[in-house]
Amino acid sequence: MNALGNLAHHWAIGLLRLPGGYQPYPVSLRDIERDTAWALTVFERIGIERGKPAHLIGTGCDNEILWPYENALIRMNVPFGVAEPVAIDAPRTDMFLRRFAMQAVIGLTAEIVDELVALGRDLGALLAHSTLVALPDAAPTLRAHGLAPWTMVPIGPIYAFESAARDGARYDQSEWLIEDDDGQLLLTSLAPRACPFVRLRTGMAGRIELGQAGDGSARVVHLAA
Amino acid sequence: MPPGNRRYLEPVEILPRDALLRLQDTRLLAMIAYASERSAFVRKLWSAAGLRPADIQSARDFTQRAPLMDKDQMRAYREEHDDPFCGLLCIDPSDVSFMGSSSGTTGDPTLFSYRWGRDDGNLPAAPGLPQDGPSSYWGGTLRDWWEIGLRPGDYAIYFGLRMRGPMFRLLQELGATPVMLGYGTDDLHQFIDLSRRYRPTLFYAMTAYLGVGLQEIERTMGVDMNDVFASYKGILFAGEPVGPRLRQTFERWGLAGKIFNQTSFGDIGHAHDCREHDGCHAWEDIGVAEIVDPVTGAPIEGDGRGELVVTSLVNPVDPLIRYRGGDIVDMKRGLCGCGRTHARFNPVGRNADEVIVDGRSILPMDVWGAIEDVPETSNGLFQLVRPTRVLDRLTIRVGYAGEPQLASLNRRVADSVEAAIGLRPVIELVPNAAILQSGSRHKIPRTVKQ
Repeated sequence: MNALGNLAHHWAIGLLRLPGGYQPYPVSLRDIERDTAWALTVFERIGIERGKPAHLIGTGCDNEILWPYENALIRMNVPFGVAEPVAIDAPRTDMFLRRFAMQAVIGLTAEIVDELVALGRDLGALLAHSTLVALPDAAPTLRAHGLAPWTMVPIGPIYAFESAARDGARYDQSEWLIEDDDGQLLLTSLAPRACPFVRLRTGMAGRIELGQAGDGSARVVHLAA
Repeated sequence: MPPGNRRYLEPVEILPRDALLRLQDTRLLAMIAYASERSAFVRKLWSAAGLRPADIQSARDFTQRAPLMDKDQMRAYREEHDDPFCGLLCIDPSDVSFMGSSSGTTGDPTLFSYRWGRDDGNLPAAPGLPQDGPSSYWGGTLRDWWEIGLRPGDYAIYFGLRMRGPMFRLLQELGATPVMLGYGTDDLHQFIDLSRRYRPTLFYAMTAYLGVGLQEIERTMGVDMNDVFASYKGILFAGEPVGPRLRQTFERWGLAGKIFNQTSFGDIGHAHDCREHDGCHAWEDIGVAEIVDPVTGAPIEGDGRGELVVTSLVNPVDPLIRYRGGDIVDMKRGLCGCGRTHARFNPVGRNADEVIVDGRSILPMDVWGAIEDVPETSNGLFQLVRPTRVLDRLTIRVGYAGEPQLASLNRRVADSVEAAIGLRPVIELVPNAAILQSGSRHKIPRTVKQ
């Protein structure tokens, strides 16, 4: 065994939490590198700038999904502070937002947003100067407070990102194919990933819109209302 | 990386004591000069003490003359100067990669900042681990996990939170594949399946919360935990040590001698016990480890009990200089049975967890075993009620399982604690879930204000 062990093929073993049950899956170094390249394009589209701090919220059990985004921030020289996406960790997010002019807050969940409100924070004052990227469960509350978040949509082991214009979520079409079937999004890997997926039933309700979007995306995801 | 049959990851682990202290002196004087020039907090503190870096010529000068610092001072600086880094940052803020933070149990969390060692974060490099530089403040963790037996090609279970940094990268730094799990009940069932499939060698990090869940799975489903844990060389408890009864449970599952304690090396890194289980190694090429009187702050020479004081030697980002974090430890400086020459310590408790009742000091560890000895409270889920440090009476909130007769249980728990410490406590019984919900799932707050 060399010093790097199995990392090229088994960089990590993740755990997909799907409606039909849990599914362990390996992630390779190649997968991470490809996902990092995608994350860089996402952050460029969102408008993340070098040298300015950002806040990234995510859970430690999803490291294999989150690391490409962290890795992209590192490559972009964006200092980032981290917190968990649960209510009990909201004071940490609160600390970061009070003490830094965060250019972006990525991964906001309903639990965090609700707890910030419970802490007496004015969401508008706390978040208005940041680009917000929220999970689907947090977006309505943020909009109700006059904010215009991007949405990051979990679809199995990946995220698709929809702009504040709400014109459908884009995903990495060089690696994945997303279809809809009876109102549910299905995920298929197109590239040689460590764990191939074929029409994985993600449990996420939505539909696919075909055709050339304004940015060249052939397929965009629309979540069910 | 050395051959897998070597016990030590790095030669410095067994450096003769006199050579180790010379290395420490060299690094210390360089760090004092560095931090005094770049850290606004250190400059202010030392200026107030009338001390210049040139006044310090040796480690002895340092421990006798340099001022102590603590978290209250850091927070005061943060508020006074509106500086989220508490005046500690020695590099340009835009050069920081990752900002972790403290648990925040005593106030607004404070930051631990990291700069990546290499540009390409995909490589199995942990933050702050430059290939050609000195050992980083996380380098000690690599040595400790190697000592436990983690080797390239192994799998390791990773139940980790993210607030202190991407610790899973350290597993990868040693060539091991992390198996990512979370704190949901279903994840514990997955842990059992994944342990049988991948046969991991390390579990990071076990907690009372997870231990309670595993016992319940064994009880209700008859899972053979000896088989589940058959491949493990080490189970790491982090955040708080394993309680006496839970330890017995893990030993029954075939893990005798394989239970390790990860504790804080005074906030400049981690310390773990080695396979000799005779104290957690304080890596003295990474930090200076002292003990002082918790009340007066006076240095305590040699071995014994005191408050841990640490100084970063290799952290170029936000070094702590004579930092007292409130950890009470038993320090030992003799050669360890494993052959390592560095100091080691056993954590006894935290200043912030101590209550004084009838002039007597009581720490959570003092009552832990007594509570676990009562069957209905054997999960060891309890909290000292500590509105103030000095109290007229000791009150303990204790979690119970099932639906016991509460008056009888209350009396038996009080009897057990009284037999252990000679003080009769007031016991407040609550269901286990109430205690588990009172903190994050990796760590139960062992004291509460009310």
